[in-house]
Amino acid sequence: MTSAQSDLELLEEDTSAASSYLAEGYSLRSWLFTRDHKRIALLYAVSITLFFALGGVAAALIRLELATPQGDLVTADTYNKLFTAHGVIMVWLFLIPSIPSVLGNFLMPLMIGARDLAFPRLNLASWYLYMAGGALVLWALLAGGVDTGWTFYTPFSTMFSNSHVTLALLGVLVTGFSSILTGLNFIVTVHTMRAPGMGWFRLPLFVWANYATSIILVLATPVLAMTLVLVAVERLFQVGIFDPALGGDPLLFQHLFWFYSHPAVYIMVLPAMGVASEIIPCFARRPVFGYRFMAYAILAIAVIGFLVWGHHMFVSGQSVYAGMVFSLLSFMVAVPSAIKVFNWTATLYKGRITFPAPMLYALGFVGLFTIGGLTGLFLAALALDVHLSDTYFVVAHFHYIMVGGSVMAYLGGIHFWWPKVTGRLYSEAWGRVAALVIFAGFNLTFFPQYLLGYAGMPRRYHSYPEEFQLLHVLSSAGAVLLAVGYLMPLGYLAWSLRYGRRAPPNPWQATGLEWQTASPPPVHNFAQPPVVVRGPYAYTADTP
Amino acid sequence: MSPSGPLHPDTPTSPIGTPGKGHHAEQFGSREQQVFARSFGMWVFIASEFLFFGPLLFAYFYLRLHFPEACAAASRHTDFLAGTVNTAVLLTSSLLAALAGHAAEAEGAGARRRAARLLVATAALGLVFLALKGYEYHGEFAEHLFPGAGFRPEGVLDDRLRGGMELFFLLYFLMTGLHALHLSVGIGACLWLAAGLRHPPEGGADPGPDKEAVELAGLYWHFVDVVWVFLYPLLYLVGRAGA
Amino acid sequence: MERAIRPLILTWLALLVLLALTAGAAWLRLGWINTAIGLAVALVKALLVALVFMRLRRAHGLLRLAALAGVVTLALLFILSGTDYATRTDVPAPFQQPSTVMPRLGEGHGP
Repeated sequence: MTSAQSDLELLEEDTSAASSYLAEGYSLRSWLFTRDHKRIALLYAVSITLFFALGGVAAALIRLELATPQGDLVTADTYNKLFTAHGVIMVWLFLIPSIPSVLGNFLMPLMIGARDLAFPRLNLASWYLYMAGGALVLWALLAGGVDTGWTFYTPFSTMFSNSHVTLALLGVLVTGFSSILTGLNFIVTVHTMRAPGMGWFRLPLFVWANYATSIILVLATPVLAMTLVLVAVERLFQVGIFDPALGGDPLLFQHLFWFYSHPAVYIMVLPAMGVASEIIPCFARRPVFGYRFMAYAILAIAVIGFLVWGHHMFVSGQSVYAGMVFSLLSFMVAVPSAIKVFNWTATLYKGRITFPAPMLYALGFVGLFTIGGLTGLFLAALALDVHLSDTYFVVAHFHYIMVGGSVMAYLGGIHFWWPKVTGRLYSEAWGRVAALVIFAGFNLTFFPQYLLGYAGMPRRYHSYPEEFQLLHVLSSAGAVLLAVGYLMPLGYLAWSLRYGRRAPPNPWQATGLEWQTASPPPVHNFAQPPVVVRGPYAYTADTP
Repeated sequence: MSPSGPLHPDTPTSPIGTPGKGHHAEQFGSREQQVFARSFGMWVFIASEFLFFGPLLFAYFYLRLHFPEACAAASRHTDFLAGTVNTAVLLTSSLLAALAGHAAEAEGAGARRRAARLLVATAALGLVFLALKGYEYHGEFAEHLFPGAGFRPEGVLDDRLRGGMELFFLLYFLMTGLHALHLSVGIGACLWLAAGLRHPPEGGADPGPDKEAVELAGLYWHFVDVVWVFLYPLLYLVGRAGA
Repeated sequence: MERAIRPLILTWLALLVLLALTAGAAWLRLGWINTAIGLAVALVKALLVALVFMRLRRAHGLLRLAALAGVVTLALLFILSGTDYATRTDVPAPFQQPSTVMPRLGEGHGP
C-alpha cells in the first residue's frame, strides 16, 4: 500500500492489466482512430522521437563540420540548410509538442480526475495536423532544404532565398494549428472537468504549468501562422510589406515573428518546470515549498513572457527607446523564474532525498536552467547584447534552457511516469548512468560555447579563426557523449517494455491522482470518479 | 444534489449518462458540463482567431502610418457601394443567426424547423455577401489592382505611391480573402446544421443538432461579422473625401 | 416570444443606423477625425454584436475573460511595437522593382 497520504478516497481499486488502455484493441485502426488521450499521447511520443532523431542528425553534422576551422565538410549553403533544419525540427516538431502533447495529453485528465480531455476527437485531429505539418517540413528538407535559419528573417526569406521556403512555412503553419487545438483542449479541460474537490489550488503544478502553456499556445501561435502566411505571400507575389526596397519594413516581420517566438520559448520551458515540480517533492519526500507562489509564478512567466519579445531585436535597428523598455521587461521576467528555482531548492531542505533517474534529471534541470537563465540576463542588458548578439553566447544560452532544461525535464518525466504509462519498470542502474552521461555530455558540448561566444565566435558560421578550434573540438566531443546518452534510454526503455518488471500502481509512492489508478490505467482512467479531499504534495515527515 | 460541473467544482458531478437527464458525450459528467465546455471552447477559439487576424491589422497600422496618401488613394479604388451594402447584408445575417438561436431554444419540431429556415436564410445572405465580393474582386482584377507583377493602378506614376497602393491592396485581398474563407466555413456550418434540424437522425441515441449547436454556430457567425465590421472602415472609408 | 426578440431587432436597427452614420461621415472632409469616427463606430458595432447577439452581456465571466484575453493580447502587440515605431525615425529606402527573383504571375516588368 502507499505510504504517502493519498489525496482521494477510492471506493475500489482496479489493478487488473486486462482492462488497461493498452489492451483496448491491438489493430492499427484502434490506434489511428483512437479517441483515448493516452493512446494519442503515445502516438505523439513515437513521432516526436523520430523527429528528435532527425534534428539530432542535423546537429551531429553541424558539430562535425565545426570540429575544424575550415568549412570543409559541407558548403556554406548546405551548412545554412543544416542549422535551419535543426532549428525548425527541434523547435516546432520536437520541443513545442514534447511535454504538452506527450506527458500533458497522457497525464492532464488523470491528474484532475477526468475521464478524458474535453474534446477527444479534436485531440486526435491535433496529432494528424502535427503529422501533416511534419510531412511537409520533411518534404521541404528532402526537396533540397531551406537556408534561411529557423527564424525566416526577411527580406532574405521573402525575396532572395532560392530554397524551399514556402513549403517549410506551410509545414510550420499546419503544425502550429495542431498546437493551438491542443492548447484549446487543455484550457477547456482544466476549467470544466476537474473532479469534485479539485479546486484550483489543489491542482498539481504540472497542471498549472500546462494550463499556462496552453494560454500561450492559443494566443501566440495564431500570430506566427499569419506572419508565415505573409512571408509566403510575399514570395509568391513579389510584394514587400517586409522589404524596405518595396516600401516595407523588415522589423515588421521581426516584431510579428518574435511576438510569437518569445512566448514560444515559454511554451518550451513552462511544462518542463511543471515536470520538475512533480519529481522534486516526490524524491525529497516533502511538499513543494511555496505552492501558491509557484502557481502565481507560472502565470507571471506566461504573462510577462508576452511583453519581452523586443530583446531579440536590440541590434536590428529597433528604436533604442523601445529597446530600453524591452530590456527592463526582460529583467522582470527573470523574477518569477528565480522564485521557482528558490522554491525547488527550498523543497529539498530537510528532505529525505533519493536519486533515482527522474530526480537526477530534475536536479540537472534546475541547475542548468539556472545557468541558462542567468546568461539570459546578460543578453537582456542592452549594452552587453550589442557585443553578444548573434554569437555563440546566445546559442549556448538557449541550449542550456531548451536542452539542459526542457529536454532533461522531458526525459525525467518520461522516466518518472514510465511505470504509469507502460505498466513496466525500467532498469534504474541504466537510467542513472544515462542521466549522468547526458549531463556530462551536455555541459561539455555547450559550456565551451559560452566562452566561444564571449570571445566573438559568430553563430551560423561554418568556418572560423584557428584560435577557436580547441573550444569547438571540446564542444563536438561533448556532442558525441550527449548522443550516446540520448541513445541509451532508447535501449533500456524499449527493453523494459518486454522484459521489465510489472509496475504497481504507485512505485514511487507519489501523491497525485494519476498514481491512484492502475499502471497502466484503464480506458476511462478511474474505476470510480475520484473525489478530492486534500491538497497536492501531501508528503509528510512520518512517511518513509 | 447541488448543480454539478464547472461552476461548483466542490460538488460531485453526476454519474455518466443519467437516464432522462440529457444526452452527452462520455468524457463529460453531465449535459450541463458539456454545454458549458463547448461554449467556452468556442470562445477560446474565437480569441485565437482574433490573434490570427491581428498581424494583418498590425501590418495595416504600419502601412497607414508610413503611407497615408497611398492608403487613401488605394481606398478610393475600392467599391464603396458594394462594401457598404455588404456590411448591411452581413449585419442582417447576424440578426437572422441570432433569431435562429432564439428559435432553437423553444421545444418541439416546429421550433426546429423555424430555426432551420432562419439558418438557411443566414447562409443565403452569406452567399449574397460572397457574390458581391466576387463581383468586387472581378472589377479589381480588371483594373489591374491585384498585387504582383501586374499591378498597375490607373494614372499613378509615382513609384513610391504605387508601391504603397500595392501594399494596401495586398492587405485588402488578404484580409477580405481570409474573411471570405471564414465566411464560407460559416455558411457550410449553417447549412449542415439546418439539414440536421429539419431531418433529425433516426433512432433515439443521438437526437441530432440542438440549440447548443445553433448557439455555437451563431457565435462563430457573429465573430466573422465583427471582423468585417472592423475591415469596412479600414478598407473602404479612407480618404473618401478626396485627395 | 416577441419580448425576447425585441432587443435583437433593436440592435440590428442600431447597427444599420451606425453603418449609415459611418458611411456618410466618410464623405466629409474631417482629416484624422474621419478615422476616429470610423474606428469608434466600428467599436460600438462590435460591442453591440458581442454583447447582444453573442450574448456576452449575460454570459459566464469565464467566457467574457476569454474574449478579453484575445483583445488585450492583440493590444499588447500594437502598444509595445508601437513604442518602436513611435520613437524610430523613418528613413525610407529608394523604391526598387523586385529584380532578383523572376516574376511568376502576370506580365513582369523586371529583368
